[in-house]
Amino acid sequence: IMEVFVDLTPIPQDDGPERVCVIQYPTSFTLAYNYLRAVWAADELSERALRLSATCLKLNPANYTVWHFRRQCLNSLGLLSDKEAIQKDLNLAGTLGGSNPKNYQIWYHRRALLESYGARDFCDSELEYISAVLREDSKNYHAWSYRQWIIQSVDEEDLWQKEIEYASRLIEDDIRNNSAWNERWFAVHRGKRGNALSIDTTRMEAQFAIEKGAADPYNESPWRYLIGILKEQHQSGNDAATELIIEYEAKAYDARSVLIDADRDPDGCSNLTSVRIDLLEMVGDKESLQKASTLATGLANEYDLIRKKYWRLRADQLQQRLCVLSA
Amino acid sequence: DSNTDFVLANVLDDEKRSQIINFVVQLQQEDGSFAGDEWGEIDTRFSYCALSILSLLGAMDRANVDRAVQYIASCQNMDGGFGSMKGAESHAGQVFCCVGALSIAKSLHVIRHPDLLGWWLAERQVDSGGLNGRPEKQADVCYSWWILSVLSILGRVDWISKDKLAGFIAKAQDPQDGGIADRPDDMPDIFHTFFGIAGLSLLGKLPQSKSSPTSSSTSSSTSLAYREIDPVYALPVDVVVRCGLSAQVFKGKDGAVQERLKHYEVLERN
Repeated sequence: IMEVFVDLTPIPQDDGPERVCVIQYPTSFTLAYNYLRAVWAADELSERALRLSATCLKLNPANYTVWHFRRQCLNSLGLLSDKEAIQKDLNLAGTLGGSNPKNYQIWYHRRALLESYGARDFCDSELEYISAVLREDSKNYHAWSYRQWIIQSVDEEDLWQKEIEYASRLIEDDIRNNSAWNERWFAVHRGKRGNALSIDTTRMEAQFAIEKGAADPYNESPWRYLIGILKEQHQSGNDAATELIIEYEAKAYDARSVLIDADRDPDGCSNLTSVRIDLLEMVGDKESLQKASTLATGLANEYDLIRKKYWRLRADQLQQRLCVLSA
Repeated sequence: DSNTDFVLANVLDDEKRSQIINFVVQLQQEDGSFAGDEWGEIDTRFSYCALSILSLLGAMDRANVDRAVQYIASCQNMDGGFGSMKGAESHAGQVFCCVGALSIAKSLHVIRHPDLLGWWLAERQVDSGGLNGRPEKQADVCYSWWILSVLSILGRVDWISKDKLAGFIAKAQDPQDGGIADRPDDMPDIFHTFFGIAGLSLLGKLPQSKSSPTSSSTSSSTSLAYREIDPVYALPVDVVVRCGLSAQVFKGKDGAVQERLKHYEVLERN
């Protein structure tokens, strides 16, 4: 470094007039960052500055300002439109991220590069990279956010289809992976909100969810998904939607057999019971509302004591709706 | 505003205050979201930071608050929670950022299903009494803040078991060096110590006044009085009141609003 930057005077870190705590940086760290400060003071955006930024990032991959500076160098050198250079920087980010894939800056760098160049050319390789990270940590929030951004940017039908399959595979691997369920929702809705799915797609999604729910009724995610899917239809209020909801209320009741077969109390799984309450409420006739209210009271008094105040409120609300119907 | 001036006296002159406001305001995007810096990472964390900063500096009118609110509203998911961006998985930390921002913007009405959100948050409490940040993840003391603060704003703190949570936080304190860890038996750190104490404050487990001289006390230590933390700004309540900071909260079920939130605008529950 000293040879390359012989024309510059290194600038030590200015910790202000009253230093509370002095960090003992290793010599290599101090040297690299002293020269980086000199480069900044000289307003230099060059090849050697780019190389120095890599050195500094290897020493501290979380240094936000250095990542920003690196992008400025890339921009100045015209490299943001150079496919090879982009790939090299993606590789650098990958190397630096290896030991800490939760570093915000590394994920943002990947996105910034693709925002500049365009996501299409790197779509496949980036999705592959993200899959590799998710194999290590299937719920890495940054990885999933970045994945969603790429798919939404490219926005091609076969990509959406492949993503539904990807989410399904991850759910098969671990039915408790809420991130994968969220991704399925995202892909099935093509990243948009507002329009409900077709009744056929809804049925397919509801069936997927209830099968996974029945596999382990204590697992939260499939039940949230099921209710979300059916609520969307419920809002439309059409006959096909009502029929579907009645059908799935019955299926949710049948799922109790899974618990019975396992010698468990079929009303003791609060996740399953809460699904039944939601579905009965959607069905909305007097008998269903009464059943729902009884189930909610059961949760409040016995089966989900930790949330008893919520369930008592819920039972009250259901009773109120019953009163209105009876009047 | 005289109270805000009190905050800024001797710290920020007019020019520096303007610079900060300009910096924040120009980070707002077309869709109402906020970037973290000029190169544009978007995240609802920045929506919260931006609105909190502008509120502290008495400059909310300088941003397009309506659009900021609309953007946050678009980050609501089907489970009632909020993520870092549209479509992102609901995460308790991001829920705090979104609901906190909506509270500062006095726009809690855009939460489509506050009961569903409250329940999603209550479902984060696991058998150990701790709270996790997403379904099927481990409980972590820091969620005592991210979740309790939101439940406080929503007026639904009693939807979790306060005693069980307090027990979890207490068990996470390291008996050797006194700090609080993310969960029992782990190594403590400052981050989790702060959130553990903040959580205990929101749970009402930290006494506000010194005990009277007549109460029994075998030890010679003086009894401590703790300041209360505000769930919107994560500042002591007395600081929020002194600076005249405003926000909005939901009424509790019984019509009562927590004492520490009485200076805020109250929204009826429907």
